[in-house]
Amino acid sequence: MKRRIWTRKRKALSLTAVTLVLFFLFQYTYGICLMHPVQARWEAEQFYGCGSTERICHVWDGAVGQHVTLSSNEHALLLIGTYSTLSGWSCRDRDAVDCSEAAPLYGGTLRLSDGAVEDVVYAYGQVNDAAIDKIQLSFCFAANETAPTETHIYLTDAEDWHEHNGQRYFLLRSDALMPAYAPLNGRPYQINQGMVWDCTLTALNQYGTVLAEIKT
Amino acid sequence: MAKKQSIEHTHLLVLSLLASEDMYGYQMIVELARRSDHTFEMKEGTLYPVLHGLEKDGLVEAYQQEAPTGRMRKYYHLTRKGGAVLKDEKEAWERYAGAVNAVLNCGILPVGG
Amino acid sequence: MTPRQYTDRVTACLQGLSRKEREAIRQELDGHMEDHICALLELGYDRDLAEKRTMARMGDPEEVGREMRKLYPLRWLLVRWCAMAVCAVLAALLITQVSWRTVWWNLHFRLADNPVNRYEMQTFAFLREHPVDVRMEIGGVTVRACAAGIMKTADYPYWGTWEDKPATVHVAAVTLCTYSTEWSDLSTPQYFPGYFRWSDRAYSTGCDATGGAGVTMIPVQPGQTSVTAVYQHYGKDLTMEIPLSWEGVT
Repeated sequence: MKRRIWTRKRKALSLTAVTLVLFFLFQYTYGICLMHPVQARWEAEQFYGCGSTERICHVWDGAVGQHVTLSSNEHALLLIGTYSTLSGWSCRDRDAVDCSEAAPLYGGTLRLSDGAVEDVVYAYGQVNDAAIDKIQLSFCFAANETAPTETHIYLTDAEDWHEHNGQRYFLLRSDALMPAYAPLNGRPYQINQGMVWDCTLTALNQYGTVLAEIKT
Repeated sequence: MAKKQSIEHTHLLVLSLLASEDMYGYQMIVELARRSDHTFEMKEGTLYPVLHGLEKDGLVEAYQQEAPTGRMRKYYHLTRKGGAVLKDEKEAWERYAGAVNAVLNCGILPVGG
Repeated sequence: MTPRQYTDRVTACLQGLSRKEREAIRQELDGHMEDHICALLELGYDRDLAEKRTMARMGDPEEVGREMRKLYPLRWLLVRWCAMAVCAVLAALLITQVSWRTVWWNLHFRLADNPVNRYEMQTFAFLREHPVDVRMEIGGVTVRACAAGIMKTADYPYWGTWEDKPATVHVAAVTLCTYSTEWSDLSTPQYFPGYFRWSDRAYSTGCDATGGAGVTMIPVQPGQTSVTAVYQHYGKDLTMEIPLSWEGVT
């Protein structure tokens, strides 16, 4: 019986091919070691089952060290935050909104964190009513259970929105939310990331009249 | 006695041997001596760097097969790429040999005084 | 020089080759010398002379080794080592980053016939004898109803704590579990994607059964043969109809 003998080059190239296949299989199975941020979006689309989406806008958020991408299709809005690590791109935070029913406004919020110090809240959405001119994001925040409650309010105007395939989309960012610290051995020690609740998106016309409201 | 020719174009000779059938190293030495009527008799150990070089370049590939003695023997097989190179080298050699012969045949020695 | 000494001197020049490669070259040269010696023995030579004649024909071992070494550049060995290192890293990540407990539950809820066999509350223990298998894919999550039975509304002791007691005499208790739709998501824990709209208002107990499955109670009318859950998912209405049996129900 014949047994083929491989040259050193052929063995090396075969092992490299096997390694690449294993690597991509690993990426597909575990969603880590991603080579490109778009793979994180594909993974989110698969998880939510919303189908393939198109990118609307993309920003780099230096405070939390993440690329924030808003994408959509006719049934869904998707917001994901991706960041690079030594083992490739990764996605920790993501959110989706079902926008298949007719409504003047669709929206959601997503809290993005750098995993250590700062958080930000992003509001995103699709505006279907031409009369809507402004979107207000409001939420309550407390650094810990005993800290005073702060009400944060942010506004975005229609001129800052994005148009895509005849639809209008907005992406609104809050200021950085600082976590709570307590002294431990004379040095500040982070005890939690703070609490965010009562996130509300309010749609206003040019006169400030409320046209729609969503609790997220 | 004519002096035995030193091996030139060793790669061409090895590829030519393998064009007829797959062979192992010692078989090639014997066949080369037989076909050239013992004109080409190389140092046998030096065949193997030639064979491994041809294998590295993809002109031959190797496989193991059990010999009648029970030992595993390494055979060499001419690849398609090797066959194409052999054809080109053979044509180049024939052109070269033809040119040398043509020059030699023109230099005819004078007869008598 | 003996054949062994010859191959030793050749392989001594083969730095940069792996042990397997050096051994393969040694075996090939050994085989060659053995073939030549056998041929001379067949011609009537004695062993010593055959060996001597063979070694004389083999040539300079250092020259053979030097020429051989040039044919094995280091770069392909480096490529192989890098590929092996990457495989080792992937294997380490596989072992340390994967939640095998999650993989187990995902497989169990997908493949087992009657996956929930333990309930925190004794009230729901009867569901072990009422297996069903109805599944609904909601994107990356599949919801599976794995048990459904009828019980008296009054048998549940915690009405009034979070939910008002329903008006019907009986409720259908349905055990729901989730698993990843895609085989590639086995290591991702799956949670209930949201609230279903049931055929009538449903009451989730938050009662933990095996592996995080939960029991939902839906008010039913006498003789009702099924309950239906509807889930709106990105423009599609997904429905799950769960059959009910009144056998043995008083």
